[in-house]
Amino acid sequence: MSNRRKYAIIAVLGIIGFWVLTRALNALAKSPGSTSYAYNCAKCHGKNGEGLGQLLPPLANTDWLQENMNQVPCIIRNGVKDSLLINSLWYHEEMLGLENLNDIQVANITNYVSKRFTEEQKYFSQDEIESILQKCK
Amino acid sequence: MLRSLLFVSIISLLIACKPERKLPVYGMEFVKTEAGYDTIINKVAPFEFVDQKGEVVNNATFQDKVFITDFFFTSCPSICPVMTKQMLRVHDAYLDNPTVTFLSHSIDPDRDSIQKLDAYSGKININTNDRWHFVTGEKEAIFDMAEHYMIVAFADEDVPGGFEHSGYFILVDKDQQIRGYYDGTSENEVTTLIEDLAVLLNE
Repeated sequence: MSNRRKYAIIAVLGIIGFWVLTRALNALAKSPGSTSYAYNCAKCHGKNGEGLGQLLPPLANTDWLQENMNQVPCIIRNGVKDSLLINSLWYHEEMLGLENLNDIQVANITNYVSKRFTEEQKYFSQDEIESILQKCK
Repeated sequence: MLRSLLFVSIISLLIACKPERKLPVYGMEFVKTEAGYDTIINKVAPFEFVDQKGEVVNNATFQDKVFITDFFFTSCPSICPVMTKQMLRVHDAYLDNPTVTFLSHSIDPDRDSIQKLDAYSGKININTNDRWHFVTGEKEAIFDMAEHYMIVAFADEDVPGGFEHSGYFILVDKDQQIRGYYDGTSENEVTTLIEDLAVLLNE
């Protein structure tokens, strides 16, 4: 085999390998929660959890979320009717629950929000999520 | 030499003669008359409401202005937050252009008082400008306007919030003709609206 052909094969394999690597890294970086969040939550809470003024609460850098992650699964499922004090601002608007999401989707979004927007980054197991959901008011 | 010159001139003519994109005009009717056919353009009907500052808002408010209009209500938990967020995008994209104005009708005028609308505009931090009018008024009149714009809006007890309505943004030009409908819950369609506004302003 000539040298030129050898180099050509190495180059092609290298390009394929690089492409596979980028796809794999991409898949790892995007947890299933990130897609669920983008599809179900980002329209109101923003792609980066920034919210909107005093109408739609932020998720990023809030005191409320750090202390109340345990309430998140029930909020995703049933929504919120109470007023919430977040970063010293009152949010009175109602949020509708996403009843069409199943327990696994609720878990994925909860863990995504926990990882992305809280310092503690607590991980909720599927069992934990289900026991929280059973006790929602 | 001559052939390439011909080629270049044909290509440049084609490029130069590219037709300018124009937005469609909605509400055109073709009416048969004795002489032939007449085109009638249905403009926005006369309306009069009150906005969040207590000022009267009617067709004259929008003279020489283009406006984007929608139907919502402040206690709407479903599509309205998204619509408000998207409308704000359009608002911010044209912050420096006073010709671009906004008209949001409340379909729940019983509960959406002037004060409530003012508080709502405060929540999204635009209560200092006079380009976005949140209006309330006679319920019948508002529902009539919705029907006129061909927007679905009606009371429904079974729906969260109590009202069923569609989330379209309607683009109206300086002659009060309707030039576009865009789904206010869709980020992509609102991006198209922002681009179409540029085309409209250049007309």
